[in-house]
Amino acid sequence: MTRSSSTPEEPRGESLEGELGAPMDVERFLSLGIGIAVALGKLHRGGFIHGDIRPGNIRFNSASGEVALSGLSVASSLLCDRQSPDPPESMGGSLPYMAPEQTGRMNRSIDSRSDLYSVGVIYYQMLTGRLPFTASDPMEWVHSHIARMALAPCEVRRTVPVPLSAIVMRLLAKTPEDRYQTAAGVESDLKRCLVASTQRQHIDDFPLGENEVADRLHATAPERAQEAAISPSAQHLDIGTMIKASQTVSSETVLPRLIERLMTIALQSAGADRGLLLLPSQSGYEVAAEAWMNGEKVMLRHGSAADVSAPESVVRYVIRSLQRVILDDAVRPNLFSEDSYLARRQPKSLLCLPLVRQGALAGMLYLENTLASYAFTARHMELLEVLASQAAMSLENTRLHRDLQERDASVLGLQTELAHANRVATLGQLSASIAHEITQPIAAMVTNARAAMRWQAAEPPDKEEVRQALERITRDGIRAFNVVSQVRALFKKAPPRRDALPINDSIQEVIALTRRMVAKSRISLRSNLAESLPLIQGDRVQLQQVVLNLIMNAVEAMGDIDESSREMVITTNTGDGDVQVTVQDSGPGLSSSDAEKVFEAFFTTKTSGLGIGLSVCRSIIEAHGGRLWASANVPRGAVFQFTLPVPENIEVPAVG
Amino acid sequence: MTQAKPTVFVVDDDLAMRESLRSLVRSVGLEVQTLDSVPEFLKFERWTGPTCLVLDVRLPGRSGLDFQRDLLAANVHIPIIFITAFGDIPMTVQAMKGGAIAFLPKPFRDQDLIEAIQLGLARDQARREGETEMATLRARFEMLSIREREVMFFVTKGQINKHIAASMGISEITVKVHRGQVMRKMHATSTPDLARMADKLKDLGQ
Repeated sequence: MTRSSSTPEEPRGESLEGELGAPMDVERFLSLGIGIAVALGKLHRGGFIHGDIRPGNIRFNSASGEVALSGLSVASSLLCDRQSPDPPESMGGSLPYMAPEQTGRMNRSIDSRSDLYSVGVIYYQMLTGRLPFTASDPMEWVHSHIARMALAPCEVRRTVPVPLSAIVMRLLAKTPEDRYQTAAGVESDLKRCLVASTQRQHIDDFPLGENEVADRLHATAPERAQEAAISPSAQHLDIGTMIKASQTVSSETVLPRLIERLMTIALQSAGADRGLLLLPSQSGYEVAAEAWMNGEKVMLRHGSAADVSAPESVVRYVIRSLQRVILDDAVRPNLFSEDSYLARRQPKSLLCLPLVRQGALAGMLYLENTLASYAFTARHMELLEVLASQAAMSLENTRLHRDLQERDASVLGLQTELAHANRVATLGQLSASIAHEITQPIAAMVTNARAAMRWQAAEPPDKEEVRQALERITRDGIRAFNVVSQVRALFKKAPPRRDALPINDSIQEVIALTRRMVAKSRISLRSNLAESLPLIQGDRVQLQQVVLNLIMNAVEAMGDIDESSREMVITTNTGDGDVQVTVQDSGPGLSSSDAEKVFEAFFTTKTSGLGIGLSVCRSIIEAHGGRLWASANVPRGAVFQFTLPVPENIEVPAVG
Repeated sequence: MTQAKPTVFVVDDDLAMRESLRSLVRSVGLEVQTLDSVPEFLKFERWTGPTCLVLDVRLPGRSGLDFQRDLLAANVHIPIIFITAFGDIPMTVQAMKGGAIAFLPKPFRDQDLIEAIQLGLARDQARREGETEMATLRARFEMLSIREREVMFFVTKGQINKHIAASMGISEITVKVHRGQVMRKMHATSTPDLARMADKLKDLGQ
């Protein structure tokens, strides 16, 4: 096949995709691998960086054995600090093969060595039949490339010769300087392996990269002041992080969980493999939480081990100056090189952010990456700062909330705290109800106003009628607004979780939350929580919201009856293979027609709002595969019960 | 005959609506009864004065439109004005076909509702009067003898006494006597008047 050197055309042949899946034998790998290196070398010497090397873009001719690269429409012939925009459709297929610097998350530019990283991923796949990392969303992919270490091919498959494995791992180095510098270098080493394999059936170790020739397409590591251009896909990833972060903060109100989620996101989005949340204390600071990567999972520990786990000098500097510290290349001599932690652990990049609230230090976020330098970008700093300040705010709010609880927070406040995790069944089902429920008070208001005007114009004007009409208008206006805010709350969706839950613990948490208020209402609360209940699977926050709603309803129901007879009983047990949760009260109870009506959206017998609670509770329970219903209590009162199915195989996570 | 005051019946399950409508209707000097469901309305004794019904389409249990159909089937002619928080065209068509005075989506202009109410009350008034009239006519007709009814038939056809006598096989004088009786018993003021009465009675199948 002939190709002009200045305008490459799309070649034909089979795509490499078809060859992947099962691991290749050494000969086939070497034959194809060398072909890839040769083709790439030609491209680079022609002045092009491909930018999207993946199996779909590699074509080979089975007959001639020639390998060619396609998908050159995105190839860039520009040097250094320009990246070509990623077509959004192809981003999905490119994510597993993206070099760390291509994610926009490192303060590095793309150059020809980025293509080599992608080739390394492909070689990995050819030799082992799998990708070096697996991930389920773009953020995880990015994090894998920046902060995760893959197993060497020879560790995944014993039959892979060690030198080949070493070549692949060299290509997969996070920092471009640590990789092969040219395709020619790769080609040379692979050929050497081929010779050894053909002649002696065995490849001895040899020093890699001896035949490297410097390439004019290499970028130099930029000064911190310069900004590398960010591709749209990277921006897209940032937005994803923002959304995930806000959902986290708004859906978690229990402090330990909030910290867990935030640390996980901070680690993943920042490209760190270890992070600490530090809080100021008498002795200077203490570790509130420590997060680190264990293979693919983020591990979390509240508090930390006794030994020193952070660079003291850095942290103290941040405390004193309230300024952030970023070390792009921490191994190079710097202000803090003397620190024993840095000398021992030698992270490649580190960052310490102060969390400042109203001029005072509320905490600090420490992140490090032991694999890659320049892992923390200035641009990304804004994102981290937002995350960090949200963390600080939540820390403060949770402390405030605890104080408020001491001083008897209002019912409404508690409900709003946990109300963020509501879910709506279907939009269609709701829209008719919404239209009806908002229109009623509005129509009543208009009618009242017109009536008032007529009364006003009568001979003589009827002031009493006018006054009454105005009062009704006020009341109906508030009702209309309540409907609107409830609807807004409903549409704030958080992605539902499916965790293994010991339901008793979750219920205990809610009981603890409402204990003061229940006591203040002079209600005797009894809980019969069965021992050794099977675990169920669901969203802890959502289920707690249901229980909270039922408790609040019971409290309100008993508000008007004699104090001595206010009883609430909360029970858990198993029945028919399900877990059953029951909330009983001794209030006025429900008529048989109301027993179903209470679950209709917007039905309420209360004068003040939140009639939305029960219909959403029902949709939450039903989404979990259970049932929620009401019946009469004996001798009086109401019983609200829901069931949750017990799954056959339940997956218990290791940590957080 | 004593005239009871016109009364407006309002059936809507929303308390706020009921209260606001009560105030509005009273502000134009009308009597009003508010009820929260159709069964409640049916329990109410039939009012002797003119009435009309302001009815929400979407009610728990039986819908307002179904109730309209029931009323028609039972030959009850109370005028209906529909109000609704949400209405679609098929609903409107069905309502109007069923003889509703108006179909008003909420929030409606109060003037529209009041006019519809007044129209409904007027119609009901007219109907009652018409019914009364019919009842009177029929009662009077019942009092006519067979012969008198025959004479009335021919008179309203426009025949002169001579021809009536020939058709009936009686003397002209007898015809004149019968005719006099008919005019007196039917309280007719003239032959065209009698003819109108005959038309009305014909609608009843006499």
